[in-house]
Amino acid sequence: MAKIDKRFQILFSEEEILLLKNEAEKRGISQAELLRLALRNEITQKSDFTRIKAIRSLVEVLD
Amino acid sequence: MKLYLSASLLLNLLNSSYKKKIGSELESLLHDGNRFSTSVYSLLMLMKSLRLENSEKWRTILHLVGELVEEILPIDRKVLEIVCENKEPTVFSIELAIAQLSGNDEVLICEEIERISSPVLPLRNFFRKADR
Repeated sequence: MAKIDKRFQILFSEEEILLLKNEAEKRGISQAELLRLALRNEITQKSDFTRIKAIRSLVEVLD
Repeated sequence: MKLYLSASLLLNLLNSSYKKKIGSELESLLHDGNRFSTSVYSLLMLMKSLRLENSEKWRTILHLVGELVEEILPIDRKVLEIVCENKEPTVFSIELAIAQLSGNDEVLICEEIERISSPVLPLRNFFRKADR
């Protein structure tokens, strides 16, 4: 696990804070951990999306 | 796992009657958390096999392969040394050397030859999986 020692300040709306609090409680993890997880998932999924799009385009490029 | 995309696999993904099946197999591998790599050498071999007259088309293919893989590996000195040791290096043996030296776990190929095998890395032949 990477060392977690960088601080980052972020502003949320009341609604987002409530969503974060409830989801973290539901999963039994801290709000900070949930945010780190969401960040990692968003980036990984995006790159998978790009790769799948590339496969589909490669299949069609010479049609 | 890190999987090496050979020229034969890329060629059949682009230009074969079962390319959709190969595409679906690659998507499944991505969903399972695998990552892909290929090399400058495999892309040169692909270029040679395709013989595209339209350079714009080739640029598009290069861009898409770049989007698909984690890295496009160079041909470095160590690869050349392995190739020199081999009296009759083939496209396949050079690709194997590149894949092995860069820490790939498997090589994905699409070859008709049934008994193709590798002493250095496991092979996954998509030719057998394809619906023809």
